[in-house]
Amino acid sequence: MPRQSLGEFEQLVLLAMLRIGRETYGVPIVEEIERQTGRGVSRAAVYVALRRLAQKGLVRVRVESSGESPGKPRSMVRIERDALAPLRESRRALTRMWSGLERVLK
Amino acid sequence: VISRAAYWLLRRVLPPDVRASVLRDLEEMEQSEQKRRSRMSMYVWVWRQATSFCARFAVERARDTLSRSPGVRYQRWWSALDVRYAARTLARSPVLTISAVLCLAVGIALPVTAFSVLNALFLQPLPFADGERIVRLRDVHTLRGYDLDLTAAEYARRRGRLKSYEVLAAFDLETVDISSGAATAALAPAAHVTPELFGLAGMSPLLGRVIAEADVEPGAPPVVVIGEGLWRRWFGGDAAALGQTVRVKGEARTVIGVMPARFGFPGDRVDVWLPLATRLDLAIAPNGDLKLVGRLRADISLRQAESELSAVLPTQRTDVEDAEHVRAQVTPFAHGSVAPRAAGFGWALVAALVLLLAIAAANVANLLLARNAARRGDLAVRAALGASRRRLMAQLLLEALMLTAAGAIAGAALAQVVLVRLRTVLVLPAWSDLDIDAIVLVFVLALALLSVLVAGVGPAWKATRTGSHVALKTVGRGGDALGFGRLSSTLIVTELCLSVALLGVAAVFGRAMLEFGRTDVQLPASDVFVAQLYWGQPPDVRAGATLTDAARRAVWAAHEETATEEQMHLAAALSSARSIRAVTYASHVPGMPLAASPIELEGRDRSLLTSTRVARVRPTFFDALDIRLLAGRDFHINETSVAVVNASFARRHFGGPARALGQRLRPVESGMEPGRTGRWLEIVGVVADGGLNPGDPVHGDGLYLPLGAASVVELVVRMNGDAHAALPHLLEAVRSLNTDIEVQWTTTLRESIELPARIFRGVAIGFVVAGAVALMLSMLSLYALMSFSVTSRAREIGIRVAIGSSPGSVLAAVLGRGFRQMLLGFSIGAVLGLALTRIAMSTIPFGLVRGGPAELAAIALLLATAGCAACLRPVRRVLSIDPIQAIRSE
Repeated sequence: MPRQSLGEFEQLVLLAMLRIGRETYGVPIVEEIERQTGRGVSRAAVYVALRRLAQKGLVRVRVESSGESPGKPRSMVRIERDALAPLRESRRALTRMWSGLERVLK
Repeated sequence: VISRAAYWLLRRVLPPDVRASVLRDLEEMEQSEQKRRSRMSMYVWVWRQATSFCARFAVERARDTLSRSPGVRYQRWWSALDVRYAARTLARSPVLTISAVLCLAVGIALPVTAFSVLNALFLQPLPFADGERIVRLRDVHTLRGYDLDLTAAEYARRRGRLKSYEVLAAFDLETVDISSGAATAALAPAAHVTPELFGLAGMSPLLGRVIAEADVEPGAPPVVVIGEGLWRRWFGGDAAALGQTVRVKGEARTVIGVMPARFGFPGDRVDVWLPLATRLDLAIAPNGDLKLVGRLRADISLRQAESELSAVLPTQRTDVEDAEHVRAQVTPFAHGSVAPRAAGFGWALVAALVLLLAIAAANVANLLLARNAARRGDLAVRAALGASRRRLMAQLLLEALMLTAAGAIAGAALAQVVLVRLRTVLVLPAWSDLDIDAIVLVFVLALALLSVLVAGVGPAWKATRTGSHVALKTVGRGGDALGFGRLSSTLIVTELCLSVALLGVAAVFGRAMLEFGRTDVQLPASDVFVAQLYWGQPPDVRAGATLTDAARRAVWAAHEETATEEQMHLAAALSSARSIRAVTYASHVPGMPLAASPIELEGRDRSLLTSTRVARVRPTFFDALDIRLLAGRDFHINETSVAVVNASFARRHFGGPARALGQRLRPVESGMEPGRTGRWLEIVGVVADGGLNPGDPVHGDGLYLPLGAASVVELVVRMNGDAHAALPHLLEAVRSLNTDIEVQWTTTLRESIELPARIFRGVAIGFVVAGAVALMLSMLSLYALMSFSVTSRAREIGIRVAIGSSPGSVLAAVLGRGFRQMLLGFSIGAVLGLALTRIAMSTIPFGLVRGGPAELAAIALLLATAGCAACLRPVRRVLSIDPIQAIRSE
């Protein structure tokens, strides 16, 4: 499989999912990103990113069976094991880029 | 409602895979937001989310579509197509490439040429402002098949009532004699026009001005507008021509303007425009033959205009018999100059030629099929290496496309060459352009597309149909991996059969036409001048008088008597000139088309009516043309109940000139029962064959009757020397006798006799070209089929050689099969061809059934040579292969 590259926003979505740590859906992800970054997030952007991640195979989508939660069935998303490698890769890249710049950026 | 509209929008825009979950989550978010927000700000929030989602997913969708769009896909496809590879493949088989391109070029050139002519005649609008709205208003006599002209009174009446036109004008066409100072008199096509006509066309003069209202007022000085052609010939293109005096039909007129050569309106090539006064009190419409032309208002359709014209037609017509058959017709002017039936024939011809192209393309398809069959190993390897079928097909189609493109370009160029030639032969209206314009180019493209479809798709489909494993297995082996070998024998036989039959017919026809056109009539052709004189309509009819049938007949009879008297005076005046040897009149001169009409011979069975050509002549006719009297005597003046027959007629019906004298015969008038018509006419003389039907060695028979009173006659002038010298004498004599006599056209006997020969030669050339194309096509496909069938037997030949066959016996075996196929095709084709020739010959009026077998034999020989060549090359190639190699694939 060709190596997946991740956009910045896709990284944010994946990290939020990891932080939540269980199967989740759009609303909690939006809230988690807003809580951690302290800024407002376009909800549409989250859903677009989730769709793209699903198409890349990094996220698995499952439609709830009825009765699991009140209201209409939700689309639940879970992070795939495959998503860890590109995440690690981008962390490594970013860390390397950051290292040695502490003094400049202090 | 406001948030519902936002959700409706979202449902329309969101992609189906995320639609449900997004809507579900949005509802959840909305609920949590509601706790914190006012109602107003909730609406804002919902709509912000909706637009945000719509925008982002729209962008997402655009990205998706772009990466998957046909444009991008085909771009990839196109880059996958190897143009250079295709070019190399074509270059590797130059014979195939050149013959295919040639085949398609000729195939495309023929319909394009025909289409261009039709385009010039029927599709192009007049090159004037709003030319497509310029129409002819016609009273068509549907029973008799001609247009009725209007009197000045009728024109004035209609002008007041017709409202569909921006401009309405009347005109009349005539041939006039025109002279200027010392320049010799000449005949020129002229139009008498109302002043509106120039406004209608909207074309400004090259020089000076056009005819104005003032020029048609009573007492206005006589003026004339001349065409550019006449202006350059007579005045050397000098602006000083304006104000000069020219004489038109003897009357001095001042030149006021010069029209561009492209104008020629409203005839085909009018060179002289004269003012036409149509006011009732003037009523000077020459010949009473007005025609109407108008520019339709933009909001009026042809149909509307036609129904308006129908309503305006006179209800009680006395000017014509069977008046109930007169219908109003409004037709685009550009189409008016050619009979609609000619258009029908033209389109049928184009359709037939397109069909010929389809056949040509099918032959190219055969060639490609055979070539692809030889390449199937190559194709199989490519398929095995992962080329998809679509890609292989695209590659093969690309080759076909390249062949067709080359064919189309060469074809269009060829058509252009032919058109340049045709421009000098066809007499088209001055305003029409016989050229390859945008419409013709679209037609060329359509033909090219048709050729690719016919020539390319089939072979590409077939060649790539078999799975690669099967194809790989059969590489180098004989047999019918493409299901083609099985067909080849049948195809060869059928193709040969049809070619021989059709070519035979074409060749026999072509030869017949050539012979038919040969003139062997002994006449003093170069010394004889011929002019058609027309006395117009009787003055009463011109003036628009209302007449009963009987009165009209009486008026015409009197008019013809007057005309005949004037003909005598004219002959006398002309005979006084020293250069003129004899003057006479006839209804028909040698060379002019003359249909055979039925006659009855006395004492013969009435059911055995014979038909022959009948010309009416005045007594001195035979003398003037040196037609020898073989027996009996010439006509006397004012004699009626006698006939003179020619030698062929006397031989055919009476066994010789002497025995024909004293016999009686009578013409059978059409629509009358035989035996109830006319008086018997006694044969008083027999003359040598004088070209009643020049060039037809079979049907030269005909007879002459005395020419009575007539208002249209052919004047025949025998000169001492050059025939053309008679024209000035004639024009001068006409001018001093009666300026109303119209000299409609002039010619010489030589031109008259040679015209049918030229036409027949043209038709013969057409047959020969069609035959040559057909011959080329059949030789090509024969070659392809033979070559393919031999190539596909490579393995068999290899085995034969391996088990000890000598090359000679292999050759004999292969050629033997080819010859058997050819022989079968030829014999069926020959029988079919002879039968077709018989049928075709019996349907045409002249019965020159000669030849046939000789032509068929020649064609068979040609095709056999092509067939042998087609067999020999692949056989030699196969024989040169090591037998081990040929059978290695086992």
